[in-house]
This record gives sequence, C-alpha cells and structure tokens, in this order.
Amino acid sequence: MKRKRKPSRQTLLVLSALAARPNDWLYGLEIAQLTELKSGSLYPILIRCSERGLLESQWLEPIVQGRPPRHAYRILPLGADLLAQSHRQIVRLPDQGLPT
Amino acid sequence: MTQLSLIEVILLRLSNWISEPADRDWIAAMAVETTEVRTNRLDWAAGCLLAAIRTKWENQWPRLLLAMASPLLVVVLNALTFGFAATFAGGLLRQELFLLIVMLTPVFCVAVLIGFVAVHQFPLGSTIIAATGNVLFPLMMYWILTSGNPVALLHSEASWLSLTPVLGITAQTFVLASGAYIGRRLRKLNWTSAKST
Repeated sequence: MKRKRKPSRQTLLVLSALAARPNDWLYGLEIAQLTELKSGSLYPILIRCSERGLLESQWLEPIVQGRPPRHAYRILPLGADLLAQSHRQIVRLPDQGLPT
Repeated sequence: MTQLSLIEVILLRLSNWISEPADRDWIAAMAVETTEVRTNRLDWAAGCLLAAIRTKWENQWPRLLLAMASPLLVVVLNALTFGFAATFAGGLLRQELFLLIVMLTPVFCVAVLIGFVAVHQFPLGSTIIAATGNVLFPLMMYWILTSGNPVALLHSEASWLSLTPVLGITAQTFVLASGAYIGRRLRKLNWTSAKST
C-alpha cells in the first residue's frame, strides 16, 4: 500500500546529497556520511525515492577484485525537480554546509 | 572490507527474512555496505534490521496491525456475538459446560480463521501471534480475571477451580495458534510450488 506524502526533511537531505554530484553514482555509505543519517533511516528513504522515480540505482562492479558489487544511487530529473520545488525548506548537508 | 561478526550476520539475515521478496535486493545492498563500514558496524547492521522493519511496516501495515490485534479481535468478536460466557475463558470461569460445548464450534472457527488469515497473508504473522497470543494476551487476561493480582491463583487457599480461566485462555490461544499453523503450512506449500514452477 503506497501513500503519497510531502517529502520529509531527511528525504530532501538525501536528494540534496545526490544533487550535489548529479553525474556520480554514490554508495549508501557515502550518502550516509554526507547526510549523517543512520542506515535505519537512510535505506527506507532510498527505497521510497527509488519507487517514486526520484533516483535510480544500480549494482556497480567493484574497482578492487575480490570484492562484491555495490549498490549505487544517482538522482533523476524528477528528484531534482522535487528538490527545486522544496527550495523554501532549508536543507543543508551537515558535512559541507551546502545549501540547495 | 572485513569479516562480519556473528551478531552482524544474524542481524542481516533477520533483515532478509523480514523483508518482502521484492525488497531483497535492497537488503543485499545494505549487507554489502555493512562490510565496507569501518566504525560502528554493529550500528549499521542494526540499522539494516530497522530499515527492513520500517519498509515492511510501510508496505504491510494493515495486515501487520491485524496480526497484532488478532488475539484481541477473537475475544471481542466472541464477546460481541455470543457474550463473554461464550469464550473458552468465560465458559470455564462460570462452570457452564453446556454453554461452552454449544458455543465451541463458532468460537473455534473464528479463532482458527483469524489465525489462518494472519499467517497465510502475512509472513511475520506467526511470530506476532506467538508473541501476542502466548505472552501478551494471556498476561493481560490473567491480570483482568484476577483483578490485577495474578499471584492470587497460586495462594495456598485458592481452589483448583480458580485455575480454569488459565486453562481456558491457554485453550483459546492454542486454537488461534492451530489456525496460524495451518496458514503457515499452506503458505510454505504455495511458496514451494511457485518456486518450482
């Protein structure tokens, strides 16, 4: 059962982190470090955003051999639009202090 | 990347078990990231479990709620339909064996049906029923039936008959669990046949 609701501040924070590097694929751990979100909060947001077409995800082959592929994420135009629409909300990345 | 500890492995397996098949890819993603975490890795693994529960709740909350409330629902439905005396506990408490026998079938059917639906439709149903039906629900009923003094049942002057509500509640829980067991077996059979095809 899907529910439509206004994006939370944490969701906007995740989208901001992805929007700061729109062409790069970011790992979950990187996003967690950028947003200072715990995995318990981060992954439900990533799942929800992916289901709503706000971001895309894919398994990336490891750079170092012998390691497993990692799931990476990149913002989609719909996500960028949502972020732009929510510009009134102050969303800052804790580490970089980047306003969006 | 380092080896995961036993607790971290258990947490991740639990996350995988809780999640829906459609979300398993995400759980796998979390598990891989856990191996990349250098500090507070246990926190990250625990977060994965929390994420699995939250996602499950977001997608399945009506069924989860039904499963959690099913033991209470049995009592309420029985009481509303046939009066409190029609429940196992009520019948035994009032020593009305005839009433108990007459009402046995509908009471049994309702309890079995609720247990069945909860578990057949919801993977975590059996766990929830086990927790609520065997622990929370009996404790609550003992508390109500003994007017907030469950120790009274163990008093040296207490009659053995005072234990009948306890037996009644246990029987009712057992009936609910029977439905849950059938639901679980059928669900596993469906899952196995779907997998083989």
